[in-house]
Amino acid sequence: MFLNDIKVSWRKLWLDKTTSSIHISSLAIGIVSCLLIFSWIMQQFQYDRFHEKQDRLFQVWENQYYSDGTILSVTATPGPLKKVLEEEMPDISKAVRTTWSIKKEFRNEQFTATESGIYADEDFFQVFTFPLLEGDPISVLQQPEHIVISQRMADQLFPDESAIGQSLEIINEQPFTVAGVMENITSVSTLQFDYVLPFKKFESENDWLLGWQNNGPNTWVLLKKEVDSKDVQNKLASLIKKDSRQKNTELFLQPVKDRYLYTDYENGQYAGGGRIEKVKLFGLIALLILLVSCVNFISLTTARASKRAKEVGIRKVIGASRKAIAGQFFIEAMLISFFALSIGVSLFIIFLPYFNEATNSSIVFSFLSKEVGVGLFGIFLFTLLVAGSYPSMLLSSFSPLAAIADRFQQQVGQRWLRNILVVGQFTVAMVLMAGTWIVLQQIQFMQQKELGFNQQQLLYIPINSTGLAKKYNVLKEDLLKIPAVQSVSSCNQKLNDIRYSTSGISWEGMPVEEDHLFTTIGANFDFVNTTGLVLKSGRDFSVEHRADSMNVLINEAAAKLMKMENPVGKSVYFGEEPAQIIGCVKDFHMYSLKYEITPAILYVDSDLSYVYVQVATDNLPNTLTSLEQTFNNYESTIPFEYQFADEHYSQYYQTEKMTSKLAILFSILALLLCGLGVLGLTIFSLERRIKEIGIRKVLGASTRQIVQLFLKNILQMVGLAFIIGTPIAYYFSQQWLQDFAYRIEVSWWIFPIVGIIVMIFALLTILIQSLKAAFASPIGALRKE
Amino acid sequence: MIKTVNLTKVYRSDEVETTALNEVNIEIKEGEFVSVMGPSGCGKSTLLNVLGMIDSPTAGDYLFNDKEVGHLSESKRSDVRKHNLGFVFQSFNLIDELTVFENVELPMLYTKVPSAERKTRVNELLEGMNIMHRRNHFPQQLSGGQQQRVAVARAIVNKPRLILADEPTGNLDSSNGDEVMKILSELNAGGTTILMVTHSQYCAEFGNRIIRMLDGKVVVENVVRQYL
Repeated sequence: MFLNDIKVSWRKLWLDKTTSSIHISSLAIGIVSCLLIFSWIMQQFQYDRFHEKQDRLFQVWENQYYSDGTILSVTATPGPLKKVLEEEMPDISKAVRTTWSIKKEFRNEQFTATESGIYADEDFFQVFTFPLLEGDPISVLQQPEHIVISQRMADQLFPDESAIGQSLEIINEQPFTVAGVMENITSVSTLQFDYVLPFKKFESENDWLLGWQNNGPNTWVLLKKEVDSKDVQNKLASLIKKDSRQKNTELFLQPVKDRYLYTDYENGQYAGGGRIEKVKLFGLIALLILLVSCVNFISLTTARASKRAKEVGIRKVIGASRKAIAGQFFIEAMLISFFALSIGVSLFIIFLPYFNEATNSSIVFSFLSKEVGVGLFGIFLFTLLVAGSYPSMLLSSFSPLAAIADRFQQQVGQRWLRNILVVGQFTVAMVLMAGTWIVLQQIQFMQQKELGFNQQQLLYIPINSTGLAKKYNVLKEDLLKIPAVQSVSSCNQKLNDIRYSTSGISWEGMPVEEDHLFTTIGANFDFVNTTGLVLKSGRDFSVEHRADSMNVLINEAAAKLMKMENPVGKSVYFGEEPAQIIGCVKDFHMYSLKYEITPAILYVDSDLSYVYVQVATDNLPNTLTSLEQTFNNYESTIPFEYQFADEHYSQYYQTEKMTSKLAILFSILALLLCGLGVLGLTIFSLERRIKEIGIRKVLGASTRQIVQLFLKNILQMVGLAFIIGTPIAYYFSQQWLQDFAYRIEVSWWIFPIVGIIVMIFALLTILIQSLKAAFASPIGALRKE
Repeated sequence: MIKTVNLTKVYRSDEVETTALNEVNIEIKEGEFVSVMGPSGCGKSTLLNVLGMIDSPTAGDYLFNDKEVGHLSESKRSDVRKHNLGFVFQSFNLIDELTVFENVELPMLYTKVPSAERKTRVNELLEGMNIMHRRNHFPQQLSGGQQQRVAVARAIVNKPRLILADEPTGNLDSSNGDEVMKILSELNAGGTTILMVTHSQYCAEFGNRIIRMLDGKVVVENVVRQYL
């Protein structure tokens, strides 16, 4: 019986190619969407979950409590914390510190390379699973002159020999000995590095790490086996307050495996946001798309029920049970689902490279993977159950009598259900389209918003590791000789990526018990002029005022916090050290627009990480060449690097841009699915009403009047979808926009325009079919009956 | 074989109530060939549907082989149908996606007859109906007479005790119609009970009894020839 059903199902698909094509392509679109998204989701869940000891591995966070009620959650921890954890927390097996990613220039006798890496404590390779190809994980970081490099780096710098034991020079530092070669870091690691240097080396060069007043490195802990992390958490919370180590802070643990997905902390608590929300959102969208495609299947199958009713009746008369009939239709659904899955998988393989590019992913598809197999089976089963169940139950319920007597009529309930399904499809399409539009508007807003400084003409040139810092003044003079260079200054950070902050700042009139966090920017002379910051009062740092090396600039937010209406001339105190305020700049954005502008203090800093150059934008290639030549006059062994401030800024919104690309894709797919569904229903409706059309034409109906018969129903359904979809789209878009401190107001006209677009699409979809019917000869239709 | 006691069938819609069968009392013995005649709307097709267990009566009793079957559930009626009854329809009602062979084979799939036996039986019948050369064709490729022969073959493939035929020659020309009636007569001569609805007096006289109906009632029963 099963083979017979397969045979019959195949013949049915073949004989009614139009309907079969609509069914299969509709399901295939849903399946390929699901496959793309679920493979992306699977990759998201792979981040940081490759460490063998991941169940015992945690990162230490710090909650900092400020007197205005703010709680700041940070991963930067004090240098002495590691030792305290190991000595005072018996449940902790090991504690390890790492620095942030630092770029260094390497060279040996033959080659040079610029690489990013970290400093890490000696237990690093025992705590984390970054396999070593050569070297002993216990001892590779024990000596301060040792270095561990990646396989890629080893191949580049020592192509013809083993790197172990070789000498490797870092520009402006001592030579190091390669003690280990590690596998290239997997793409699903949030920690990315090509070299590791011993943390004790970093500590020896940075005294501030020895005290509790400053935070910097990340601290990681490996718990002992069988230890409950909640117990450790409870004991850990107040550890840092002991012995006046740090006031107003508490420690807590985050599992390393959650680092990538669960990133948003607010007021000391996990705020429920972060990448996991994107994962959930896209998972939901993928399911919705698949559901819409299944709805198409159900809708078309039930619409054509009358064509199958006679066959069902005959089979029942001959002796088929309801179960046998339902099984037959289920097998038909299975066959269609199988073809749709095959096409969906093929499309997935074809489009995967483009999807990877759009989402900045590195998803690899392998039929041999267990996860892929389970995923494909799951999607197939979901499609089959959702698309196949209701039609099977419905079609197998037909009475043999109604079929034999040719008196089959669609029950009113079935028509209503079909209409509800179509309205649901259009609602999903409209919500996606409106949501996409709002996302694109927000991205455009973020890209075009005035940041408070001139990012289009501002270049960042890193000089941290080059030794050029000592020659800065002479370099600046040479740079200013280039005609297109308008101004030069320097800073310890990129202006739209400020990371340093400090507390412990006081001013006259500040209540004693208060403590506030200020963002700190180590700048240089001519800073305001170079960056295009706008002075509200006072003046820029200037070489003509040597005392400016002890003075500060503040922003409006800082002036407001300190309740200074005229801050120029007043003093702030870094601990006991006074600093005079020489100017107040208008607020400017120091990070992405997701965050509010914070109070900031700018000071003259001898620690130069970046030279800032303001350039005229005409003839940029020549200007860049001149800049490179000038730099090479000072340091020819290190590659010249630069970045425009606006390029750096655009990186903040990679996630949002990816969101918008995916949203556009899914909106198009949802609309396409609606179109397929409507097309199928229209074709069927035409077949069913062919006699009616013939009679109307004989009685004198015009082409327009015939076409209106079909358009009216569709217009009503689109209209209803608009009424339902608009508040849903508005609600979800408002929820998404809450992530941004600076955001657009949702424009009301988006929704009616989306509604009109969907309506036009639906009308065009059915117009050709309905015109065909309208122009057909009435005699042919009547004779057929 | 068949006995009805005050068999009644009423169709109800929102505004209209139609009595299609009005306290019909008939008996059909095993081996008979009974024709039911009457004007359009007299209830003859309804009677055939109820006796064929495709429909259930509103009131009254229907005994098939001395068992009450009129008020069985659809699944139980389906069970009785597939083991005991065969149907031949005016519009043939073959399944377009199945070949001639597969159409005839279909009832045996529902009675779970093994594959080898199915093949033997179908081939025998197709030979007997002189349609073996078309076994792999689809219904739309056959003439009306050929389609009806296939339908008859399907009706008898499970060796039913009763065949119900609803205007079996209604869509055929006289030559094909004769052929179908000849087949039915031969089946009846072999012991199969036949109940046939027809407008044609000529076809009705192939049987041995005619029941005439009017407005849902049996009005006359004629014996055409004595059953021996």
